[in-house]
Amino acid sequence: MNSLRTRIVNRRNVQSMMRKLQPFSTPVSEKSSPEIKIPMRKERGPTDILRALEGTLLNDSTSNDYGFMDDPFFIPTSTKRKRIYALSKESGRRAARFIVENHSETLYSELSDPLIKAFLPPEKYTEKSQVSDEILMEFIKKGSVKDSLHIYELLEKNVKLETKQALLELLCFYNSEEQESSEDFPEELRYRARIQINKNLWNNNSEANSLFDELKNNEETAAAAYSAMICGTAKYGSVNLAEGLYKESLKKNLSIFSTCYHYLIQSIRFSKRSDEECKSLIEIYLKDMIQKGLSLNVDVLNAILSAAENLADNVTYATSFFSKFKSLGIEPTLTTYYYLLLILSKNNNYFTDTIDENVFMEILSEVKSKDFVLHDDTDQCFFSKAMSIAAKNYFPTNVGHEIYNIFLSKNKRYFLNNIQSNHFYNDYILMVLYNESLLDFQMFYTKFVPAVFIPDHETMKNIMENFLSYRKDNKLLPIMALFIKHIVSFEMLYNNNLLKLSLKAIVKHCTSKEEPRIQKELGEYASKVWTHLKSLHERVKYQVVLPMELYSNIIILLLYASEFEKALDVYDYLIKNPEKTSGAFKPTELNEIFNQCCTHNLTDLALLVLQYTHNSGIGDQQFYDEKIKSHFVLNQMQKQQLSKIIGS
Amino acid sequence: MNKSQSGRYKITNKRSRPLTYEMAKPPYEIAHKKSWNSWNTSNIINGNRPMECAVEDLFIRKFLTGTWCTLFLSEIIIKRNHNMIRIAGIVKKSYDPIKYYFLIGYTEELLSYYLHCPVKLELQSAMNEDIIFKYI
Repeated sequence: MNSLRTRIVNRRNVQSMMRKLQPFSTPVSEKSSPEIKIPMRKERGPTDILRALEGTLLNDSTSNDYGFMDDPFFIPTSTKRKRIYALSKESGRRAARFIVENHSETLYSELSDPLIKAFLPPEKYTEKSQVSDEILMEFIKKGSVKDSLHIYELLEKNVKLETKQALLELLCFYNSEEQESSEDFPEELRYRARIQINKNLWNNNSEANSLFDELKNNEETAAAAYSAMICGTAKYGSVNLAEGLYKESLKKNLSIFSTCYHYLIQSIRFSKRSDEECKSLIEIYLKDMIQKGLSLNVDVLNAILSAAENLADNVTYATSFFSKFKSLGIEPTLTTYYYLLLILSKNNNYFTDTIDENVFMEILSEVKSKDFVLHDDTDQCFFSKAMSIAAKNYFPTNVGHEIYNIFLSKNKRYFLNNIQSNHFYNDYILMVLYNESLLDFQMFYTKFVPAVFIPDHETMKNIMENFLSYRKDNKLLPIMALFIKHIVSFEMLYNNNLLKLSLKAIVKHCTSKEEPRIQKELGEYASKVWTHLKSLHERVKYQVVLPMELYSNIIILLLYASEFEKALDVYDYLIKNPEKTSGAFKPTELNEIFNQCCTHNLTDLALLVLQYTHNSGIGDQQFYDEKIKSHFVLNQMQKQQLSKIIGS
Repeated sequence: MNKSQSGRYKITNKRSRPLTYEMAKPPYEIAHKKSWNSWNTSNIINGNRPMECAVEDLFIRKFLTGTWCTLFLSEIIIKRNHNMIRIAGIVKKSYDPIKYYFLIGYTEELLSYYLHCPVKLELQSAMNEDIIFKYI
């Protein structure tokens, strides 16, 4: 009751205090603005809300790639498998598409309301009455070269001039070849390497030529026809034809489009001209553009930089253009920065990809501050190139982290295809490997592998070489166990050099007195390698010759793990099949094997070691003789074997 | 009710008939110990296309049983939300995953074309004996 009373008293106190404090509180503004200002409407794209929602999700480093089933059996364990599974799925889709296109009557349905045309099978036209100018234009807009030409033939080439011009543009843009759109089969395109056009690939299509001949003589379409043809020929490496057409258009005083100049400048690298001639040609094109009142754009800048990449002493030339275009208010794209990196890193004569760190960081800070949209295929090369340069120049790890953070920011992570992302992460991992301690590297490695990417063979070899470079230290073994597991699970056992390096590194840091758990793990690895090699020898028709060092390391690890029968099996196989190995046991390796035989009383293996020593003359023969006689209790057969070895 | 036979399995003399969890639970256990095989909102009051939905589900099940011949170990679960159809099930681990991925791509694409909406497969894998709940 007392406590209740005190509470009431306290409440009263608080109320009175609040009353006293009220005059000191900030007064509420009496004058509220009468006008309500409606904020300006923000222009948003169709996917902006989705992107904003995506931004709220955290990255789960253990999650599986969206393209694969979330089940251990279906999750790919190596880069090769990843690629095969993705392409296999796409192949299934292609098979379904084939059925839809060729047997459309079996699966025809009109379930969607309103009807979605994309789900309907493609219409087939066989008669002139079925087609029209509009239908042809639709197919041209879809970018279907084969169907457009078919309909054009059906219409007996009697179409409007605009349609003819559109068809010519289509043929020039796709080089008269049917191209699959990236939306239909994205995986195939993601795995396809970027094709650099280095030679003349222009298809001299008769239909394109006849269309051009017809359109160039008409005043209305002449400029557009010349523009289309110049763009096509220059894009696909037919430089002489493109330049010839350009000169023709100059004679006729036609005003061609600015895209032509971009392709013409880009095609300069195909022509066998001196550096000075190339530079003067670029100047001519630019002057012509200005005379005709065409505005410069970022494509022209990128074309100049791509042409400048092959010129000698190109740094001042490229940077001057870069700064001039920037002063004109033209915003560079990631392709621009990619070419800048290429040009600046090739400056040094002694090493490739050498760049000043300050310049590099300046480019990075510029990229960081900007928001990009995918403008060109080459955009996807920037981040992998930047990481590669940072790794090759041995820049500190925080540069790598900075590139990675930029890559994650502002939707920039769409600027990597599958091939480039592999290069990117491999270089990133190598950078951390060379700069950080092994423990830090292990933590970093587990964050990315295998959820984000799977390292390639070369990276794994570098990791093993790094382990080899350390002084003998058995504390490294638990760390090595992780990488060894990954060598098996990522299907890297086929790489003999990697096997050799990994076994050498393990044996270097391992002794016979390690923890039983570690020894068992290492023994399992050696056993898996041996099973793989044995099956390889049996399966492959040609001779697989591997260094003796690899086998001796397997035997030592098996002995450490108390897998004596397997060790004997390996040794026996080597004695019986000397043609499968190159080189010989080293005396130190023989000593280690013999010591293990003595420790574990392995008489048969000790006799085999002695036999090898007698036959090859390697190792301390006398010591082994005496040790076998004094240390082992031999049965009758073993005694006979010993006397046979010593007698021989 | 006592004479109802559907969804119930006869006990063998040697107790050698394997049943999955789904088979082991009779229909009256739905929503208690097991769930529905088709998830949609067609059959609620004023739901859209109830008959069409049932026929389509039948078609999907027939198509999958034929295309994935003997590979499905469980019932085929069909879930519809928004304009998407998700098909789930447990498949047998008999072949290389490459072949399964081919079938996944093929099924998704072909059904998408027929049903005029995106179709996604959500598969889990198991060995034959893994899915046996009991023998009767």
